[in-house]
Amino acid sequence: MFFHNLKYSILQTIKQKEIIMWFILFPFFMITVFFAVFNGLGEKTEHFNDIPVAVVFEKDDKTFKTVLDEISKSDEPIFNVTYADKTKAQSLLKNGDVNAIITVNDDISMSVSESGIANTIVHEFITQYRVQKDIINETAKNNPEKIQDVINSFSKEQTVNENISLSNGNMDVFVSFFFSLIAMIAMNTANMGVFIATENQGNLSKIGARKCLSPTPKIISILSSYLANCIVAIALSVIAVTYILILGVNLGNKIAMIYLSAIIGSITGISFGFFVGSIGRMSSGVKFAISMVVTMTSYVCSGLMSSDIKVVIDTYVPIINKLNPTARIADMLYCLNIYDDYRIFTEHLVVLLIMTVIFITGGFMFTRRKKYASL
Amino acid sequence: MGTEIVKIENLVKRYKELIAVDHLNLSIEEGEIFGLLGPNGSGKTTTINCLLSLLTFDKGSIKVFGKEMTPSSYDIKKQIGVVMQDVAVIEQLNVYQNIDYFCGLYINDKKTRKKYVDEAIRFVGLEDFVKFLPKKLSGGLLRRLNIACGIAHKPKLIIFDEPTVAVDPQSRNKILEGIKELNKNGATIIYTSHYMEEVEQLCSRIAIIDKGKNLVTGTKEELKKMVKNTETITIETENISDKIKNKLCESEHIYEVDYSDGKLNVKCSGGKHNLVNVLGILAENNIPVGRVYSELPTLNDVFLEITGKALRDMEG
Repeated sequence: MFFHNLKYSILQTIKQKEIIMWFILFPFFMITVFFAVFNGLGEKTEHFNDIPVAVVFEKDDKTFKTVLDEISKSDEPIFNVTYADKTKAQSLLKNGDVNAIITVNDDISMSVSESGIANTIVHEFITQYRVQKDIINETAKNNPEKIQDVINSFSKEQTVNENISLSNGNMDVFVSFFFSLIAMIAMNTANMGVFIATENQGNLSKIGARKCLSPTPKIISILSSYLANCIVAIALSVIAVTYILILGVNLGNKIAMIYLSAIIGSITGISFGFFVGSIGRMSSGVKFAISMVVTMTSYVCSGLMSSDIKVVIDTYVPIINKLNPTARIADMLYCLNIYDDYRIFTEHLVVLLIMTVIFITGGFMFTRRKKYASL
Repeated sequence: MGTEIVKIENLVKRYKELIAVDHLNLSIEEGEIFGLLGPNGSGKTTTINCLLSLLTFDKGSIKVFGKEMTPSSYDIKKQIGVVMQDVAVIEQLNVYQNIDYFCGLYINDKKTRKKYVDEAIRFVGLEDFVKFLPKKLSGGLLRRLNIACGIAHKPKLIIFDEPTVAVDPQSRNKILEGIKELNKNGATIIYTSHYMEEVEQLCSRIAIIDKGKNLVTGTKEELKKMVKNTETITIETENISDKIKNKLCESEHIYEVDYSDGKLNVKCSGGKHNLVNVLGILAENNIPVGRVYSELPTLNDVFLEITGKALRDMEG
């Protein structure tokens, strides 16, 4: 009975137009677009002279100063840094001696007199610093011997897609977009989970009612649907990662772990959807909508649309991304390429597995009811 | 008296303030085609859903095959087939796969299942459509697929919940013939429908439900005896005066006389020679007579008399 259900659930899943659209065509389109855009940027990379900037410390920030010093000292420095007070810095900017003023207090901000590529680079540097600040701090805490490598990676970022080797990994900012994309593809499977819940509940679908009338125990019906969707989702995630690799994106040298992350992420995504589909007495349409809204929000919070958003959330409401499975998957992939050991990776993995168990258990608790008050 | 297959006692189902089923009692015997009739919102489908243990209920007991029906009564569920009001098939699977899938929820053995599925396909006449997806089927064929999915496992009790809604006459006829055949092969049938002629044609016993209550249960003949009107005579004629109408009304067994658009309608209650009597009165008064019809009460008359003629969909 279980395998009969499994066979037809797989068949049903792979024949769904929505699956083809959202889990095959859409991810491949996104991957291709990302690749075309970032690969194109890479081809246009040019070397440039160091950019004169004035830095005003209104508040002490040793980490930032260390990073600036390292950048300025490297063989091909990005910045020519002048430390000054606010008045002097403004005077330097006014006279055209510097392109921008970087002001450090609780946050890091910049002032410019005119726009241009140099100022865009300064802005990008500050953005990247915000993104990587957590990594620097974490590295300082967990792998202090790697701190220099991490800091050096900033100074080596001379071309927009140059790979920086850290523990044989890749900290390229654009690779991080692909990590976020893999996380998004994984969490996209949430809709499959909602589908499992609705197709097995008599009050949510006609098929669910028909299944409830049969002598097949609900647990068998749900488990086989769940497994079928997991198999399809895992296959699609593996294909997506393989496609990224075929395009030539350097995801680092821990490819097996990247596949593992995508697989676990997909299972978490389905389980999350199953949980959403199981709770409450809303219609299946409302449940699909909730799942979409929550997953889309999780993509935004994980930094897929803009890394600044992730920085702000990590700074002010860190709990959000600690509970955000998409951010966990992206961070897990990112950490994989920073650390030699798997400690942080394992930590993220365990959290995702715990989330998965909670979602599945919760989902089963809510769907176990066999009679409905209304249909 | 045959074996009791379904026994519902004092069933009460409430939706907040609304009482959908109100102390309903039903008893269905083996081998019957039992018709469940009632206006929209009368509680037919709710009763069926409670019977199938899909809905919770507030009071009462339901026994199927002599056992208490619960969601975990898998041994009972194995013997029940349900053809639901709405078509419930999987859009992504073709005709054969749909029937095989639903049959597989009841029958484990592959060989037996294949035999049953093939028989179900032949039974509903879908042999030429086995590879078709549901969206490629016409409304009638889709209904037949829905039936095949519900009966392929050869259940002993089959519940048809308005299976012929929006079906063309040919498909409807095929479905009704099929239901008779299923019954002939030993299945007990519960049939709900709005179509009186179907119920009249099919069912051996009928229950009329309204406002959640079982108003009356019996054979067609028993039900027809319950209504006042036993014969309606219609005569095409001219010049019927009030005097003639009064004369007709004074006759034994005639309780209502109406004349409009050249048609005289006479309603009778009881009596065996009403038509002769009416024609006699008209002849006595030199009234020329055209075409003459005499109709016995239909189930529709019984239904309307028992449930009332007000439009239910317009009621709160």
